[in-house]
Amino acid sequence: MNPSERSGNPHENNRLLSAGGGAASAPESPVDQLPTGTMSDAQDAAAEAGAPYVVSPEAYAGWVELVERIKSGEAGSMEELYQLFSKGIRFYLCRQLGPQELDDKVHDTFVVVVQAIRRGELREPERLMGFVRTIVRRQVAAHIDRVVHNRREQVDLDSSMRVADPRENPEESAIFRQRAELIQRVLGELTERDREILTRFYLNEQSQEQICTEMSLTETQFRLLKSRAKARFGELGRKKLSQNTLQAVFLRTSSGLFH
Amino acid sequence: MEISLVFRDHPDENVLEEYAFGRLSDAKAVVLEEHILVCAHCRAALAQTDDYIRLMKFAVSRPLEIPRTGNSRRSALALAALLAAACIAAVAWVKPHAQPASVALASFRGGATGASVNQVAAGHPLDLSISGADVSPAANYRLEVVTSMGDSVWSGPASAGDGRLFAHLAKSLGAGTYWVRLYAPSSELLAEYGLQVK
Repeated sequence: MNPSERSGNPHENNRLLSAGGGAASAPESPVDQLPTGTMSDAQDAAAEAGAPYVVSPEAYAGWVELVERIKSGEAGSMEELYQLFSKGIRFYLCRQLGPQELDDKVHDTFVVVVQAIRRGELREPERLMGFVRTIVRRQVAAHIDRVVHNRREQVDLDSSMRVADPRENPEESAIFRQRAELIQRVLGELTERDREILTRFYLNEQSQEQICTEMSLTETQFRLLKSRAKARFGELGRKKLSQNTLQAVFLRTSSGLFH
Repeated sequence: MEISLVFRDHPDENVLEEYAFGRLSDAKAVVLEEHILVCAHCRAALAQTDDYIRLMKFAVSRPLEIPRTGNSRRSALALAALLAAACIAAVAWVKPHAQPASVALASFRGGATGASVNQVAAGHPLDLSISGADVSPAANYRLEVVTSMGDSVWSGPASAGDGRLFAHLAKSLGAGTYWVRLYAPSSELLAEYGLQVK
């Protein structure tokens, strides 16, 4: 499987991890190669991709200076790099690989980034963001390859069907169930056709284009339905939260805590 | 020089949804991922998107109870409660003491669709046992039974004896696929076994 296919879909990565399948490491796709080009090239590419959310030019200048300081081994430069990227790296790794051993993975990734910068692999310092992203993706791909390889090599009948469970404890499970009930209330208020649209989109993962074509919807109608359902869910959630708060206050006042 | 990050724009929720479903083009995904590396606001938004998708998947995959209004809802609830009580009484009268079913949990491999699972008949309390060969001798192991969606349906201690760990579920499980999770005293997840209840 091409590493670039292990992209933004954590559900796909989890299936790979749990199925124990997957081919041996494949050559990197262009999107996983280290970024080249200048800052303006990056901005042009982003604009062309219809994704204008790039940083300001001033930030790029700061990165150039930061990279030079890291290369020279200046004290404080690594800490600054860590502060800039650690949360994003942690988020990405957790989303792709789950919360297990996350601190170690973040640390390992950070070490790889710093070592690569010091070896001069970052030729255009203003592309620091893309550079870090590429290294993080490589770390994810390497981890998945290791898990798949270890699973194949294991002959002992050890139960290792471990799926990264986003719900880490019973309390979070209970909260999830509660929120799912609210969603079901929202779904219950919809027509069967509207429920089918949402089922196709969220459960069957059909694209907006396919759903609109097959169900004779305009893009506006489709987006309106989705946003209405989400808004109603938010409304019910806020109501529930305020009810819980009121109940808690009532219990406290009736037990004589507020006097 | 202090680096301050100012973005001209942020990805909207439709872009985040397309990314979460893996449908964003490579070019757009690259830009989005670089953005998320350094934008706390959009990381939070993507986390919310992931969460909402997970909730929707769970909710739409379940049978739906259409809410009724006013007196008709209360009457329906009362009737449902009465029927449920009658069913429980009938089952208790016909089958006062269902014999527990014993399951020696083992792990399996292979198959295009993943591992095979242990199987047991529905409607019985369960006596679960796990080989202790792969776990260190210790007290206070814990077992948890969860549904295929990860909802916990039972949790309790596992006692050791004869080189195995044992646990008794007084309640019977409905038909479906479950996972039995073994936790160490430190709450570390040690093992997971599939269990098909038919």
